[in-house]
Amino acid sequence: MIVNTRWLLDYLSPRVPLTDLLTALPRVGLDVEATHLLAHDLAPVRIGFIRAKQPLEGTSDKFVCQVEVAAGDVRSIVAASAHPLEVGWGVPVALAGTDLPTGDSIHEEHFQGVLSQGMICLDGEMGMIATGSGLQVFHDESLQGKSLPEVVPVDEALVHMKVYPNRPDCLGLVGIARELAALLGLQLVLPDAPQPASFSDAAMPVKIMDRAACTRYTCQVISGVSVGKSSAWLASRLLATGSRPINNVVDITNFVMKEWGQPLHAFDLQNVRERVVVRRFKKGESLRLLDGRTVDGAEELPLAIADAKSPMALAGIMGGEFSGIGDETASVLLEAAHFEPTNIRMTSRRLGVSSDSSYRFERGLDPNETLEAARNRATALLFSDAGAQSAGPVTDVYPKHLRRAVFSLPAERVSSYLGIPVTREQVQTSLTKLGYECSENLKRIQVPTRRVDATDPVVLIEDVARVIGYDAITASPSAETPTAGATTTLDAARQTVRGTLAGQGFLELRGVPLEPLEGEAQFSQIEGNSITLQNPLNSDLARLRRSLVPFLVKTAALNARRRVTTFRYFEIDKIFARPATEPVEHWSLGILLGGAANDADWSTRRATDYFDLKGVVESVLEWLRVPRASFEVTAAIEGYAAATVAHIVINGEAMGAIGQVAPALLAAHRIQTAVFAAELFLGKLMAARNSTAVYEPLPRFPGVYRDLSFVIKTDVPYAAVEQAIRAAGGSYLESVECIDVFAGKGIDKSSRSMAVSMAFRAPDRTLSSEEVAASVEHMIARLAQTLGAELRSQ
Amino acid sequence: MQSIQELVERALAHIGHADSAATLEQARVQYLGKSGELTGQMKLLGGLAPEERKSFGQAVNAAKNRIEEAFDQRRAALQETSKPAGPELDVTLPGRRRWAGRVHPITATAETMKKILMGLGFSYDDYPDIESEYYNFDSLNTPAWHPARDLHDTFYVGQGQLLRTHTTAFQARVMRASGGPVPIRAMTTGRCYRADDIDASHYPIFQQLDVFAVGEKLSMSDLRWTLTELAKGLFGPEVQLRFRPSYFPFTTPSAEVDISCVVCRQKGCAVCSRTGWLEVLGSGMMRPEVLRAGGLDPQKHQGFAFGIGVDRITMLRHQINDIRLLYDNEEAFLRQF
Repeated sequence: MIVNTRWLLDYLSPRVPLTDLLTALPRVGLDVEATHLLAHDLAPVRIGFIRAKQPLEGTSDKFVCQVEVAAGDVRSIVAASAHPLEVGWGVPVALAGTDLPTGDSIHEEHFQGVLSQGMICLDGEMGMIATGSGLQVFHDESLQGKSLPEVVPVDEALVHMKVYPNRPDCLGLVGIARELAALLGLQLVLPDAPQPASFSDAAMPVKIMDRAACTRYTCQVISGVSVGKSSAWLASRLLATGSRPINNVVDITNFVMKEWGQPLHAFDLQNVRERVVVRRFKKGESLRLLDGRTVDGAEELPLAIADAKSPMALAGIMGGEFSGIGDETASVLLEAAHFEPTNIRMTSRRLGVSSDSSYRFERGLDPNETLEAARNRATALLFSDAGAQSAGPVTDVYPKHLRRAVFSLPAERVSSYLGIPVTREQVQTSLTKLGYECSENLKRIQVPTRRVDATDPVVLIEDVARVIGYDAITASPSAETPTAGATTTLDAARQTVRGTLAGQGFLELRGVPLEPLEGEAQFSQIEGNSITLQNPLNSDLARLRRSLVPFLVKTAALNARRRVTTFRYFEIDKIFARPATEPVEHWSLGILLGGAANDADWSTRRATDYFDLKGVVESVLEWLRVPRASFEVTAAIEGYAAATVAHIVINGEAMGAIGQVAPALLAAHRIQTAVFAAELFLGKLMAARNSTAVYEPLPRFPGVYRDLSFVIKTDVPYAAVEQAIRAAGGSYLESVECIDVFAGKGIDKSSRSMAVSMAFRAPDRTLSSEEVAASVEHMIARLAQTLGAELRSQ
Repeated sequence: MQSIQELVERALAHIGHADSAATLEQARVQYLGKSGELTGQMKLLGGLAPEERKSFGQAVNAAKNRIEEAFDQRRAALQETSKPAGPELDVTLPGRRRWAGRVHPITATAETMKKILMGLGFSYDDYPDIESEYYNFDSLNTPAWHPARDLHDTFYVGQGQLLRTHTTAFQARVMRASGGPVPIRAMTTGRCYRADDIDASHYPIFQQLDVFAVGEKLSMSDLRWTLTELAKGLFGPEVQLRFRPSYFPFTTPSAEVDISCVVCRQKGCAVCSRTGWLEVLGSGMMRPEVLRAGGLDPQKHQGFAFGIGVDRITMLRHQINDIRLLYDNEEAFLRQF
């Protein structure tokens, strides 16, 4: 909504300085998006003198003017005939390239092949309220080329604002002025609406068929209007606030809507047959609207304002074309009605038709004083500004009068909510200023019906706070003693993981949880269908991700394009799928590693491999205090290179997977180096973790250490070797560590050598070397027997 | 005895000054060799009285151990330095290392806020990204067809479920789970989703942190105190707060909260549009409808709530002018925090 401050000040007495007004608007609770001080924003508008003028060929209402905007600088400007123009006049000119505060930008344009290099600006087109004829005219040639605000005082602003959905009463200037009056201690000046000069007995019968959707319908026949152009005071107000003037009758209804917030509609009386019927569209009925679109009652049955035969308007939203006001209209039927908000909103959404009128009705308006005041004001203006001759009696169908809500609000409750002492007098004064009627003891506070948001006394508390001023609410420590804040084990685990991975040189990423539809199986370990958006913004953000790895790979690709060659990334976020009917969210940890082992390395330049990432995963698991994991080769997972994928298994359950990213996928991203990735389910890990550490007595007796080297067939995995050693090692075998793996010279091609280092220890005595030797002998024999391992050295 | 002590000191100095394997070997022979000085001492042992033998033997052995140890150390040291048969160790060469890892600035900001709020007694938990219309809207006094729903362009995933448009959706869940006793002090943070087109200040995915407290007397003044503590923790002790009336369906009174511009300290800059103030969060007293949806009694209970855009706070903390940078994850960006 655009508000012109000069117009707004019409409703306040005394007229306060512009700056006071501007600082008060946010205190009302209006969302001010932009404030255009015209004295500043109109600086590019200059006084130009019309040196020549001739009709634009091929048109009846346009002229080509030669305008001198600076000494010797004459521009060609095509002007419409909204206002008379004379050769020799100085007028405000906005040349191409100027952005006007109304939001219009001036461009060079061709009309009938004639170049127009700017615009001769009416007051309203510049956002100003006309005080004269609507065009500022200068005769002093010395002003040529001067900036408009230097020549005339411009003390007004255009404020672009949003009225929050709870305050439709502020969708008219009177509503905003009422708030300002209360906050600034001013008088609210309601607009004049003198009684019509003469009455007729032309009454219009009205029948409301759908009383739930239309709560009140009033109308009045106004006869003898002469339709024409609106006067400057009216036209400029509409123009300045973003509406095109159409004709005086329509402009008056729009003006009153901007003033009182109540939409009105004027029908050409000759098109209203017999009576007004407020009813649903019937199947097969259709109506061509003012914006040219056609509504029909085929599927939905929206509410219509009909006459005896057919619909004339889509109720509360838009009028029909045929019943609109035209040049030949002599009498109008002026409608002021109240519609149920939800119905208007549903119809507007379903049909995709909205208007300033539907915007207001769907938020809820006052069916009482405001409706009547707006209708009376429009009637008065039809007499003063549209030549109306007589007014018929008002037809008013209002089956169920909306009563004012009544609340009790002790000052103590206000104090308790705001946390500052507020007296009974403060409550009473504040609410009275806003139009509430308060009993002395605050037990009976009557809410004006325009305040559709006041459904609970807490709204009144906010009103009091606004009038007192939010600045009065000071900070004070809690009256209630807080308990210690806590967090979850999962949250603590996330912090641990971040710490350990950042400590190992990994960068945490913040990915985008929405992905394109294709590639959904990539790296995914979770069951169930993907969760897709029913209304995606675009095809790239269409599905919730089911693995964190694709984004890690994508980020590696992005950084590879920035000449990054070493990738150490992780992300902790949710992944999603729908295994049955309910969606499931898993907290996941994704890790990606590739490139050089070190970032700064002028000597070894070792590249990372699978076991670097495996080591990282193991260290994360250690930090999380989960039992030792086994890594078990598993079926292929799309995205990982064949035969590189292993499940990370704890207590027989897969906690995640690790593998090498498929080189084909990397080639597509132009990554040259080998890249490895792992993804772990944090939720499952939490279930497997050991809670508090329990102390174990430290070893008191020395250990005995033995290294063995075996030659074993390559298809025997290390885990089998270690398992066999542990099984054969006896109860004193404390640890087994792989210290070397070698294949090549001196070893059969189908075999490799593995060296392990073992520690033996008894808890209660020093082991003898004979005891250890016996265990080792047994071990060597078992390994030979079960795995065909040959001892290489001891 | 005197002589053994003196012998050891001399030997250690000799070994310490050896600057090559050859001179070191000379030293070894001089002390430990077959006819070395220490070996000579050992030979004296036979001529001593039995009661002296034990202590003298121990002393000679200890001396031998010390000299051997010094010899081994020196040999190792000489090997180290002599390997790159060049000049002395070049200590100016870069260390062999990985660059330090980093936590993403959004996470770092969220964790900072969580820590401050935990200190104020708020407890943390996670809540679903995929929400019901009920928790996301209805429980927050935003029924179907309420015009306030226009403020959120919602993504739907079918079966009446949607991607939460704000973490505020957790309020009724927390209150219901608590089963009624107050005070409740709860917070959460996480992804939120709105069908906004991407530009420098909008992203369809963003992170919010939501907080609320319910008690019997909690007030706007408690809210202001909590927010002041949070703002000071985030931006330093000089930061000022300003409350402005606003509208959220789930709070009344509602307040938009501005902080004094942390970039220009209210001198006026582009970040605060020369107003000296930055809009940072929405807050207010919880609506009776919301308390009721959580199973509480608005006659007895009252509380405050606020929600913060973590991305926005992150951008303000680090003077980042484009939200897209946060989600692009360029290394050159991530390594700055």
